[in-house]
Amino acid sequence: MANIKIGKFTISPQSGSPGEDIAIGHTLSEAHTGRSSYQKLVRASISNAGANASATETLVVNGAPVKLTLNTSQLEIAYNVTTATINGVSNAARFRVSSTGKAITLVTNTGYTVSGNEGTFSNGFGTQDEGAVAIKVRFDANNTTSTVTIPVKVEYIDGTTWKVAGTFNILQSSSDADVVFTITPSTLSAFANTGGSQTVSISSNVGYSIEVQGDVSTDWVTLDRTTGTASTSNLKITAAAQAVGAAAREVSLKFKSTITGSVIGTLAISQLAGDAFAISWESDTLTFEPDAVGDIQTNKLTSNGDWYIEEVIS
Amino acid sequence: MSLLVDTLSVTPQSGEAGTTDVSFAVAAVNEGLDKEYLIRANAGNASSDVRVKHLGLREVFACSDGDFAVADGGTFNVLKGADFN
Repeated sequence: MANIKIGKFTISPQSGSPGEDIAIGHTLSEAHTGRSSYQKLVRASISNAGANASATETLVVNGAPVKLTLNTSQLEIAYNVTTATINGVSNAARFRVSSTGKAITLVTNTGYTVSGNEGTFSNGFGTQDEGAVAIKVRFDANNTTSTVTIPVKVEYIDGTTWKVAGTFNILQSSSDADVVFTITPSTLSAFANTGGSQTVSISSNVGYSIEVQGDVSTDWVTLDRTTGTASTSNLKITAAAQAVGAAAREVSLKFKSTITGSVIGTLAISQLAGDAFAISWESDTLTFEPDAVGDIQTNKLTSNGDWYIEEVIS
Repeated sequence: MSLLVDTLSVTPQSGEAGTTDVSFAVAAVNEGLDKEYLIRANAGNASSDVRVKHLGLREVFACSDGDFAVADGGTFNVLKGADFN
């Protein structure tokens, strides 16, 4: 018994014999994560020659609850690092940040615009699917001798109500005048979506460990070493290729002194979004003669992702 | 697996990345009006449409002798299948 995929639905059987009260199964085969409702029209028709009868039904899934989920709750940075990126997943239209610790400022990043400490996601974001978000905040350096915790409260709009997504703690290490730690160059260019490697030179007068932090998934970044000694040596950073349709991503490297455990340096790593989905027919029109029964016309379909075909019903 | 749309079948209905030959066929003679279907292929958030036409049978019509159209109405007889002159 053949079934058919229509958008996020599966319908079974797709065809059958004449009869009354024919049971047609409808299954939601793919979760709907957008905040707006999802709808598909389905048409059933009689396929006998000369028949001209059809019936249309509407399948609807209500919008999912509005949400903004933070991927991680904490980030450790060096005393002189003044920006941090908070990764998460959302289907909301807007968000805002605030802190009861240090003053913070929301800064523009991919996917949203800024007004004060409130961000508005790109038009259409979250309506039909949830998506990755990367919220960037700025604050002052920590020139004290103590670690500072910057609690960033993230809220999102649900209708007209602000709801709390969570609090993200930024642990900003203390300033240590005895430590000399430099990364050259101090910033990396964004990795291409095809992946690749970049090398930096690290000079330190203390031993250190290296760790990737900042998101649920950090395994797309690999390092040729995870420790260092008081010396100058290279570090090779390799990024894996992005999947088609994947969002841009960002993590950071955390360098910790093996003596004090303080974060003595960080390095942001970002990668461009994967190629956009693309699909095309070789011919956009096919024409059958009235009696072309048995004739087969072939049309080449080229796609860079898994695909399916449906009828468009207006 | 095929997509069945009225008398049109499209095979296969789904597939993987790459270039695929998709076959279109009609299962019955169209004795009625022209039919047109809009078939959409979807991949992620991208889509592409192909318009498929199944023409209806064209038959020759002729007027019966003596019939003519007049400005104030009346009957105009049409003979289906007759030779057209």
